[in-house]
Amino acid sequence: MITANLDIDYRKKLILKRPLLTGGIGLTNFCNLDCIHCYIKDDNCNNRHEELNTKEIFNILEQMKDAGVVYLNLSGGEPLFRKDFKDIYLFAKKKNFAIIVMTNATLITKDLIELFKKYPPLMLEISSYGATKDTYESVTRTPGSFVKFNKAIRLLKNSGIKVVLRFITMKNNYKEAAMAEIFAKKMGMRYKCSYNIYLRLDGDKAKNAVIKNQRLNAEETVDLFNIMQEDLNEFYSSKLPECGSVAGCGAASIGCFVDSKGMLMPCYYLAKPSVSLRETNFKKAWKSIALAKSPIIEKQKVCKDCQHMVYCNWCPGISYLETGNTEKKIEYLCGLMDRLAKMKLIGCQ
Amino acid sequence: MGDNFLKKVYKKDPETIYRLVDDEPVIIPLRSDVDVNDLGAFYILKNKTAAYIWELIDGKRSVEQIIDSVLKKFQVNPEKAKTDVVCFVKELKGIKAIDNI
Repeated sequence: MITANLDIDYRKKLILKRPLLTGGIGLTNFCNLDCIHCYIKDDNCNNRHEELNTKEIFNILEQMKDAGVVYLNLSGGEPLFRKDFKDIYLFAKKKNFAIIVMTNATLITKDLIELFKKYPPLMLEISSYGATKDTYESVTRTPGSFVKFNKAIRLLKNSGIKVVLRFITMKNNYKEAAMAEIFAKKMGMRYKCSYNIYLRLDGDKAKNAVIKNQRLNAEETVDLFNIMQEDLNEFYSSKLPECGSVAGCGAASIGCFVDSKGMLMPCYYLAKPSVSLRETNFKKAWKSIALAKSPIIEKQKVCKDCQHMVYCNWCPGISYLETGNTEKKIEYLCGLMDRLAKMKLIGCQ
Repeated sequence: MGDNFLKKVYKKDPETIYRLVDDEPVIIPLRSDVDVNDLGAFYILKNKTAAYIWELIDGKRSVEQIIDSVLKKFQVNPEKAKTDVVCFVKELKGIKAIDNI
């Protein structure tokens, strides 16, 4: 009488019908760490007053619930950096969301673990930046952060709280990806590896230069897949967008994101189109985004002449961050795909 | 299936989320061990009977009483109603969406 999970057919059906299913809120752009690859962190304390206050967040959550959102991602910056995090979390729990908290874990306390045990999230998604102190802190640029991270993970071990450790790969740390996986398994946690880092939302040129410098080139990508003992060709294949989606994924069809200043947008990276929830109610704002004629993104349109199209991670969000335009080729990805093809590591379509 | 099971009373786990998604009733038991994908265990209640039984699991009615209610509500033979309710309750228990009183 029951049927399990979002299988592919059901997901396709949902995307075509576009019921809003997942929503994210970036609770803050501030963070206690200073990661070299961060696409969002704001260093200017004067901007904090622009962020949504507790009451505004409650109001948005209320509206998201009414609009049908089931899965709620609480992210940042670092969401635990907010003093009212517990209040927001409990409010969201009362609204019956399936909550995913995306955190670096370094601010997790015993009190918070008790809260999560009593009122469980669907999962905690914890970013991991290295398996050793030197590597981890070469990414976070925050002395003492590795100890805090480890302490939190050990507190979470056997707590019954579902945790995914997401290893964010870049030049500084990719050689430790397999070690991080072993650590995750030892702690009884799921492990995921992220293969991309993104340019900054604010377009900061100096910080973008650092991020670009941390991206893996083709040789390092191959090295990483060897370390992870994963099939690169398999990973990169079938990257074509799902039929009927606006942006090649769930963005603006079954998913949306609200940034820390209350702008509703298709996803974390795609701020176009966006509508202020301080000026427009959620349902109206969502309607204008989900049904927007522009940008209707078709990867086939942007990449139609490229023989590596089915292997590439191109998406309108990344295109927007890289070029300021949702429908442009991304030089970095084109170069990476070309090089992998020349090395005969991805096939030609 | 023993009489003992029919006398049992179940309640919904407070950590099970129930929603209508695209007009289909869906449950997401947060305590489930099943972790099928990023979105956790996501179950669609396939038919009206399933949605009705879910409604009746309230920590007060026994399995037997739920079977009686299903018989009154839908035109099914008693054996089929019994099998359906018992199987469904067991399925829900298996995914930790409900618990014994």
